[in-house]
Amino acid sequence: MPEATFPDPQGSGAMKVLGKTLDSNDDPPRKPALATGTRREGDWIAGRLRRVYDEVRAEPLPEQFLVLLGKISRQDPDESGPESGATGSGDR
Amino acid sequence: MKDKDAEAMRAGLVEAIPRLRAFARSLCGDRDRADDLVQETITRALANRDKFQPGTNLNAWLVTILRNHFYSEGRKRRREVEDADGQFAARLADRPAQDANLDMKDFTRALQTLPDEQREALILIGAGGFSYEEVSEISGVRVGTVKSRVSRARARLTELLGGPPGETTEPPDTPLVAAGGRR
Repeated sequence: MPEATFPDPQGSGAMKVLGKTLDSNDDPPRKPALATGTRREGDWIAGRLRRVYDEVRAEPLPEQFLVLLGKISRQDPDESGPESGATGSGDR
Repeated sequence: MKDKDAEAMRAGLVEAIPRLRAFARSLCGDRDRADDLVQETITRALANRDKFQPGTNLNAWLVTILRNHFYSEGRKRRREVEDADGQFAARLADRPAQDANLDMKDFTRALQTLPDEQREALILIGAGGFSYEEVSEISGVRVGTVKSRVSRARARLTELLGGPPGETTEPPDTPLVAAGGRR
């Protein structure tokens, strides 16, 4: 009979799931907190922000980027378009 | 730039595009404009690739280029999404406090009503995976200013949207709002 899932009574975060002991190494990657001492409302805001991010990242790249990627892979900077000037304070 | 560094930068650029699109979309709220911003960012990055220091944070460099271009462009054009009269806030105020169907459209619209600097800080910290220190570098302001912007943005969104669906809406004069929720 498979072992039941139950929380660690010691509160250490370890948990047995069907015979496998999960510990902190099995935790999913930490997601960025919105602020020190994240509040509940911060969590839902971050969750929605990440959802927007995830949705955009899951989209196929538009044609313009496929062309751009082709140019990047050839790495001919002169083909990447006209020199568009300084990057402002981004020139770090 | 050495071949090895150039190759690393090429790979980094390719990998960064989806993330830059997400940042740009969140920042300006418009798909086409966001993609134009990213395309211009990549073009500028390639044109100025010799200014990038290998071993430093390429993503932060790219985001800096993108946001600089966004603000530069923004000075020339008026924001398309505005809520100067508070119409959006007024509409949301009429919603039931417990609205389990709070959807992403409302969230993204509310996001666009935030001041640009607050929205930028909130996005980079909340979804971009950057630290406060990195956002401070990207935005060219002090860490405390970044924290203040994030706090104000959170407070404003909570005020507009009434908090997470299915949970009790906090009264408008909670300490969070009082500490940084004024616009």
